[in-house]
Amino acid sequence: MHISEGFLSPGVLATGWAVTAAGVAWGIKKMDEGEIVRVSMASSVFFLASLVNVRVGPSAAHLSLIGPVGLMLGWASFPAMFTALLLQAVLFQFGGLLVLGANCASMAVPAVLANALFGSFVRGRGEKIAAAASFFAGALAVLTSAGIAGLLLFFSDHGMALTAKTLLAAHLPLSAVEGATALFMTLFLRRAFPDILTGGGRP
Amino acid sequence: MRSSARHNGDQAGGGAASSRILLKGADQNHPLKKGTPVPFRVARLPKKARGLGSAICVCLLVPVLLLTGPDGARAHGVGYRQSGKSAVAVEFYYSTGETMAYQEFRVYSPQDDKNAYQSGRTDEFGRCSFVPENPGTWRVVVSDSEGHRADASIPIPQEFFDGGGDPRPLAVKSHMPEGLDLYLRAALGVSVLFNVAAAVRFRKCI
Repeated sequence: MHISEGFLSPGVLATGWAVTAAGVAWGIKKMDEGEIVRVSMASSVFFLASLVNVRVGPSAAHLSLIGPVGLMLGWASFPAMFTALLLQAVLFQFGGLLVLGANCASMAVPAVLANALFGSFVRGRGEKIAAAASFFAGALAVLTSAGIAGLLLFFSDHGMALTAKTLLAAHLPLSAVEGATALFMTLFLRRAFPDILTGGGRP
Repeated sequence: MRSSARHNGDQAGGGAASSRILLKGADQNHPLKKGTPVPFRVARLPKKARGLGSAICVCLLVPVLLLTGPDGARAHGVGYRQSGKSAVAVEFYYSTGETMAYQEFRVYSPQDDKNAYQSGRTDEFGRCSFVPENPGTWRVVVSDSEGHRADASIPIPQEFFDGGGDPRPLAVKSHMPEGLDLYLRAALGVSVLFNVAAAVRFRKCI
């Protein structure tokens, strides 16, 4: 999911940084004082999830938890993911510093979208609907993220169309795993800590 | 098919500088029909002279063919020999532990970091090898179809060319920390995140 340094063109890198800067600014503006610990916790989960390897068929991938983070934080996903990705780039050499803006945009935008589309269902009364919404939020967030990353690669170099398609196809099995993880996470949080699943609003 | 010919420059040439040959008694269906001008000259020599000329031609042609023919054939021939030069093998892998198998790689020499010295695909175990020609820091770049790229810098000392046969690895570099280092870095990251939160809360309280 992390695009490495050297793939993206300067224009795409600048676009990624512009989207990320706007998202982080908006996320911090909307972030409530009391939310900061919740944001830190979600950011830590996102930061550590990359270390959990999941065996999917013949290949392995790592969890991203884009959907659950989005359901927990909403717009605050931008600053939370930016900080976590920055630490991942520095401590684990995932992605890179120049490409950080593009990587953050490709993950935070789907998180915000997941909350906007499925948040109300996840926080609703019906548990079955919440479970289904959580699954789709987790699965579609990963696929959207892969799609955005593929588009960034495609716009950097049109010859990378095949790369973009491969990226999307490679994340199809992972999206099922992410969906199931999001389902169990949100169902547990609904029962144990319902205040966490606010999507960025006040508990 | 045989056909007789005679000079008829005035008839065919119509004032042309070169003489032409008209075919006489030829098959009418043949492309070279009767009356068709042929754009070359045939010298008619006595029979004895023609035999002598042919012999001279053969004598000249055979050495020429012997000298040029086999050389031309050798230019398309292939061969092989086992190289005595030492190669450097580099292994690439993902942070998940998987090897970067069958991915494209490019090798750049210390003198030219624009044009690849060598390119190809890694093997089943994510390995590629190259034979350096001179000392310096060589770069090996492997990229896959999912936006991952590994950029390895391999220092090749002069001793590599002088001594040879040293099985020790020239460079070992892991981009991904392992073991205790990995856990320490993960703990450091979480600590930083919560310290940021604490700092923000503390600043708000003041």
